[in-house]
Amino acid sequence: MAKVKSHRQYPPLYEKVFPVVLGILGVVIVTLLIITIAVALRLVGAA
Amino acid sequence: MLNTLVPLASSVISFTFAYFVFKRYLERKGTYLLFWGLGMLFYGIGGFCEFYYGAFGWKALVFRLWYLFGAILVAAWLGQGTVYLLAKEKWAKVLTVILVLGSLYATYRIFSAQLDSGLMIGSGHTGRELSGHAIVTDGVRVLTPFFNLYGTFTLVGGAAYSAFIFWRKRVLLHRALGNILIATGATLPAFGGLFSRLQVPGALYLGEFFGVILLFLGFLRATTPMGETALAAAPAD
Repeated sequence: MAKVKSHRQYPPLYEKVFPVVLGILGVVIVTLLIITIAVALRLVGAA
Repeated sequence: MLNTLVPLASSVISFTFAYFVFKRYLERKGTYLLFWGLGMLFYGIGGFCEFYYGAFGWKALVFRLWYLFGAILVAAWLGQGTVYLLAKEKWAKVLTVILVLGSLYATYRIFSAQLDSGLMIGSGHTGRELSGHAIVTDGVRVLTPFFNLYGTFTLVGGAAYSAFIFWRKRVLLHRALGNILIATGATLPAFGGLFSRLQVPGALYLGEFFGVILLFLGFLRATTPMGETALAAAPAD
C-alpha cells in the first residue's frame, strides 16, 4: 500500500512534537490496556 | 480540601462541559455528542458523590451512585461517543445495545449489593476517599475493568487514532491538538486510580480533576478552528 505523504505541513514546533506525543500516547494506551486486563483477570485489585 | 473542593471542582467543570456538549448536540444532532454529553454528566455525578462523601460522610445511596456512574459507566459511555464518530453506524448501534444492557445489569448489581463502609479502610486505603472496597457482594467489582477496558480502548484509542490521522494528512491542526488533549485527559483518571491503589493519597481525585480539565480544553480546541495561517504549504520539490 502506498504511503500517504502530505504536501502540507504543520508549524515547525508541531512537526517536531506530534510524533513524540503520539508515540508516548501509544505506549500509555497499551500500558493502560494491560493494567485493565490484569485487573479483569484479578491479578491486581479492582477499584 | 483534597477530598472536598477538588472533586467538587471536577463536578462543576464536568457539568459545565456537559452543558456545552448538549448545546452542540441540539445544534448539530450528532449521536456522538449525545453520548459524550451523557458521559460528562456521569463524570459530574461521580465527582459530586466524592465531594458529598468528603464533606458529609458515608451514605449508601451516594456510594452506589458514585460506583455506578464514576467508577463503571463514565469511560465506556464517553468512549461510545467516539465509536459513533469513528465506526460504521451499524456497528455503533450493535455496541450501543450491548453497552446499554451491560449498564442496566451493572445498575441492578450495584443497587442490590451489600455494602460495608468500614472495608474502605485498609488495603492501602485510608477511608478518606471513596473506594470500591466497600462492596461486600461478590461479582460486582469485577464488572469495572470490563467497562473500563472498553472505555480506554474506544475513548483514548479513538482520540489518539484521530490525532494520528489528522497529523498524517497534515489537516485540521486544531482537531489534532484537541484529540491529543482528549486522549491525554482520558488517561489521567485511570492513572489516578492506579496510583490510588499504590497508596498515593488524593491520586484518584487529582487524576479526575486534571483529566476533566484536559478533556474540556481538548473539546474546546477541537471545535474551534485555528484558521488557514496555522498550516503552511511545504516547499515545492
